[in-house]
Amino acid sequence: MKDFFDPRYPDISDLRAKAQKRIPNFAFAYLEGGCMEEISVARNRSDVAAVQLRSQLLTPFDKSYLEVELFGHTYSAPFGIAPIGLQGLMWPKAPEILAKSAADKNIPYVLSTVSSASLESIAEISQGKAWYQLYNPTDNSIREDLLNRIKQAGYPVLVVTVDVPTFGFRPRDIKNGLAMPPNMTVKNILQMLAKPSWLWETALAGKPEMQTLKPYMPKDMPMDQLAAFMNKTVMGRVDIEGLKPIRDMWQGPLVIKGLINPQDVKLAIELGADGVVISNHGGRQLDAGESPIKPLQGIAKKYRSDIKIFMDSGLRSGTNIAASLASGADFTFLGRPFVYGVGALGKKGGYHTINTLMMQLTQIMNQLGCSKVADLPQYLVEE
Amino acid sequence: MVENAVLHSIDFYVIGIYVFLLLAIGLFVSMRQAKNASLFVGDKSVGFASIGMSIWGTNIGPSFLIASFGAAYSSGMLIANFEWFAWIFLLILGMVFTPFYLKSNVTTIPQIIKRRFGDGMYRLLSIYSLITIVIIWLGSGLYVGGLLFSQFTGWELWQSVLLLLIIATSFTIVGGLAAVIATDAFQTVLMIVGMAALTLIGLYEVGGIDGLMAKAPAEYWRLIDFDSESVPWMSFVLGYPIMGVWFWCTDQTIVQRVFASKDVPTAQKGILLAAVLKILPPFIFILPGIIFYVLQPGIENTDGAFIAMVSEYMPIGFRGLMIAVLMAALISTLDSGLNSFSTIFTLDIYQPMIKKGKELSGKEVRLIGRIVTLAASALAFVWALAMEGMATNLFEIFQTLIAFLAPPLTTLFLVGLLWKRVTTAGATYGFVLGCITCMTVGICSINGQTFGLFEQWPHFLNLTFILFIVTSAITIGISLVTKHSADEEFLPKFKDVANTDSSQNKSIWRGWLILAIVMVGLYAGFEYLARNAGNTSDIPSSLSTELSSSPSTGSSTKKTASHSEPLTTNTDGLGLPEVNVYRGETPTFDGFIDQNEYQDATMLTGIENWNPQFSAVSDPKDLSGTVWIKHDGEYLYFAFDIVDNLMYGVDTPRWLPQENPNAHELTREGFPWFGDGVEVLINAKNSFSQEDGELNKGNGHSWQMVVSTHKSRLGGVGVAGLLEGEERSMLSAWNNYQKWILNKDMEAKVRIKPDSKGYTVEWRIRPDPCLEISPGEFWSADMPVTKMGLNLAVADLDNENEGAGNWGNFWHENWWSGERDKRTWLKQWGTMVLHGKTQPISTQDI
Ligand SMILES: Cc1cc2nc3c(=O)[nH]c(=O)nc-3n(C[C@H](O)[C@H](O)[C@H](O)COP(=O)(O)O)c2cc1C
Repeated sequence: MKDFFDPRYPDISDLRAKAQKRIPNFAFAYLEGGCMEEISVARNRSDVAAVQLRSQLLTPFDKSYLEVELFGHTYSAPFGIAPIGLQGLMWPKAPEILAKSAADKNIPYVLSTVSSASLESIAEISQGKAWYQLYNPTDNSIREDLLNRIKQAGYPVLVVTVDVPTFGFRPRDIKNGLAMPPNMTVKNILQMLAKPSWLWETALAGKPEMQTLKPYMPKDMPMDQLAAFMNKTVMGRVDIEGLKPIRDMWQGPLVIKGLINPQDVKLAIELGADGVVISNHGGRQLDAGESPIKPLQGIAKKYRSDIKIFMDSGLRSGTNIAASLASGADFTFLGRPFVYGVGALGKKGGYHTINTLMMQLTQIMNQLGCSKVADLPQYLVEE
Repeated sequence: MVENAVLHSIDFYVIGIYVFLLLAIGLFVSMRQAKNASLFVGDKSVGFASIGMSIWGTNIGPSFLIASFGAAYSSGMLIANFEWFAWIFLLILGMVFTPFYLKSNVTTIPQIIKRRFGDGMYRLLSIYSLITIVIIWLGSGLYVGGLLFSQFTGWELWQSVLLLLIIATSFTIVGGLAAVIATDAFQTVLMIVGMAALTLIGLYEVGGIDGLMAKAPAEYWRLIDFDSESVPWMSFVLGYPIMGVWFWCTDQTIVQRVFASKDVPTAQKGILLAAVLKILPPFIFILPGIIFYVLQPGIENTDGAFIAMVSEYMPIGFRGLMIAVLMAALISTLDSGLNSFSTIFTLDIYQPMIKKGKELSGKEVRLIGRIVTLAASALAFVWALAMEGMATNLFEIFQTLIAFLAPPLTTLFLVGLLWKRVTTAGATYGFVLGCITCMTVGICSINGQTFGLFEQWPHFLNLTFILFIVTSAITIGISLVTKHSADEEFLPKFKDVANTDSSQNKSIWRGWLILAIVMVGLYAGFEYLARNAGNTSDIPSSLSTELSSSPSTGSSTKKTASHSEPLTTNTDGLGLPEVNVYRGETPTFDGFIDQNEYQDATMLTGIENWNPQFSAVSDPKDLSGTVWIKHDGEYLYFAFDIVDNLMYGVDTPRWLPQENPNAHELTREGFPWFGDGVEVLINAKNSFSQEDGELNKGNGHSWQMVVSTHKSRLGGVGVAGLLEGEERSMLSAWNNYQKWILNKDMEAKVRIKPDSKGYTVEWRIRPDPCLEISPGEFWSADMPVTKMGLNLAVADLDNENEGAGNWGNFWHENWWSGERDKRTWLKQWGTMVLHGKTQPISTQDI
């Protein structure tokens, strides 16, 4: 199972096409959608595609190693699974499936605060390897309780996402009246009925709910109040002052996710953060935003020695991962591709996607003549 | 038709499509069959699949559906034994009785008896068969089905019964058995699909297989329970076979499908299919009952459990599907009953007794058959309506009825047909005395009449066994002292009719063998579950194999709970308010609060200082006021005098909050509390089962209703008045609330003050049905002092920007009791102490 690879889907776009056939439209639209006109979603792709690498063939070369060391642990590949909320809506048990495949393949899986799985169960499934992504809980008691639970469950790394000061204005979700669990409108019911495998698995897995946050929600909270509740309690705007108490309470490695401005990276270093994820949240928050691959080079040159630099948004292949690493990232994350994988192939989807990306990346590094991930910047064609 | 909140127009389309398909199939088959085909056995060309599905569909009627769902709700899988033992008797029907039946070339069960025991027995049995058909197949199902249909649609019972009868009778009259069998097959598929959908949606709601296993009581999986009160195992093993032989092997309605088959192997394959399908009911009729118990325990009248689950958990469209399923269950039973009634009457009563045995022409048979079908249908109509006035626990009675109908006939067939020594006299006396004994015992035990002879009647399963022994003893005893009469004839030997060595026969036996292994496996599997449930890793689920190591079990969940404790407790020290309420003069119910009108009521002031859910009130001009509470023995009254300097929709233009563009609507998506208004929340039961987070039930036990100044259920948008509050997201609550408003069980009158700087509300509540202190018991003034949970809220909406940031753009919403965000939890409400008497005048007042 661990080495599962289905030759019918050698590219992420193949998985995407298959997943779209198996996931109800409203859920797939949530996964795909960006903010407003979805310009930044497109820009993420085109900017990554523009990065060029140059191979070096005549120097002696043995083989490529994908391993990367981060915060005292050596991971088997330089990419991880980015936090994605409401995964269970897109495919039942997706967080469990992905956490397990990531752990088995020894790459990090980052659990979202608004996941359908509880943080305790994911800690168990991932054998303590998963990371935890936190939104800023404005309610002090919730913040404290959550941090205690995260520690207790043994998460090694805490990721705090700061690029969601507003609810992204996503036209498709607004049209669909997206909710978790899904609203039983006629339209949604028809969409679900059109996807029998999703329907069957969902029935067996049960209604998707935000398991981690459930203890803090009043029972049976009507859907129309939930968004307001979330805004008020667990997803508030966070600035550097808001990060300080978290830094004080969390002694382990702390990663700030969602930065793109070098100024913010500097503040994060001053805060004492251990890593930053250069990201525009997959184009879901600021439609006029730059794609992170652009500022990445500058940020990496300046701060790589002070802090671990991660990057996500728009990566869809081994080539893209190599481009990002060559542009100076220490490590990368991918969001949607793994959900495509699970949507397309169910339980095996996690393994398949990880294996595909590893095979692609290995081919590129071999082709470049690059033996270590950290050497990739040497192969970048600078503009 | 009354305004219908349970059913959406899509539901009606679904029902309409079902009825259309049903009639289309029925009529198509009728047209296609040969002109001279028999109404009673078709043209003997029915395929095995139709036979199997028709047996299954005929067997499952609405009372079975409701009763087994209810039994599963109250005690789990035990009731499944009645399903999972049926295959043994289908095996006997197929492999023992069918060859006899088909080789004897008869069309009715009484005709078999005629061959063996002569005319006397024949007449007895014909009449007995007609009576049982009316009781078991026509009346009960029709009454129950009609009742359910009425509950959904709001029609009168007679209208529902009539409609269902017309549908069932139409194609039965035109097409006879062939149409019945074809439509049964369609309806069987529909029932399986519909019930599977209910099961899957239930599973979804309960948290999937893992959730069900974790939450369902382990003993609910037990199939074999020696100490059970509902299905004690030993009694079941003794009693069920008596009922099983009668029902599956000798009842005309089931067996008529066998008579209609082309040959023995076709019939046998059909019966085998029915037996295989019998695996399903526990999974799709009983499992959802267990699931619903987990979702919503505490329903006392389990007969209502099915309806409750459908109306609360089935989404739009699926409710219509479930009604179609109920209709299918009924119609597939009813049409079969009508047809067999007509068969027996025409062939066994009309021809031999009225026509004195003269041959009837095919045309004549069809004519008489149709007239009788119509007559039977009229009889069923009368009988179903007559039942309305009879006993209340009908479902239970129908279940036990078979126990008392079965023994005489089972004896007659088992002893009489299989043993040559039985004489006509023995069979007749055994049958007649058996019927009399069974009827007497049946009536007495159903009424619980013991004449002081013993403490209580044994379980009906024991009784049926004892009655069988008694009847057999009479039959055998009398046979031994009498001689065979002249018109007796011996039926062929078994080995002469069953061609045991054909290859077809072998493959059918192989089918039975596989089925037997599956059934044993099922019993073993459930026994294992009953011993190990609660342990998710043992569940045979497609998902658990990989993930069994696994989520949300055991220690980790407990850890979570204890962690979050500090957040959710600590309400005890809150100091919840309490108010005494007394009897007073009846006020003029007009919305105006006159001087002295409420001087004998209890007054609550300081609304501006109540607990703010949103921003606090800084200026009493903005929001303040007084509430009075009293009762006059007939109604409980709340009067509000609210000061509010800016009235939404009166002083301001109407605007809508960003979060809900439908906020102003009167639908379930609309916000009742949107706008200026007041809310009353009462927990008449004054209890809650959960420490925290429990919300009201939306019925007489606990509820929340809203009076808005700018819209109302009765007046529409723009007219102040009562609205349905939470949990209106729960369909049952929404329906209850709406009913209360429409029935004027709760009324409110609102007056905007002339200077539009506030408003007054008079609100009266009828204790029955709104203050239900325990199931079926409503508060009244002659009760001792009674405590109820109470909460009150006053909302103030001003300009759109002032409430920015909260989901309803509220400026203020102040609550009499409870912490912010938790004020709708039952535990957070204050207490209303209701006194039947007027307020005692304390010495201080004088
Ligand atoms: C459906 C969806 C949900 C997301 N939910 C979260 C979340 O809960 N927390 C978070 O930090 N990031 C979230 N993200 C952002 C991802 O972590 C990541 O930044 C982004 O998906 C990367 O872009 P990519 O999908 O193009 O690889 C979400 C992204 C998507 C597509």
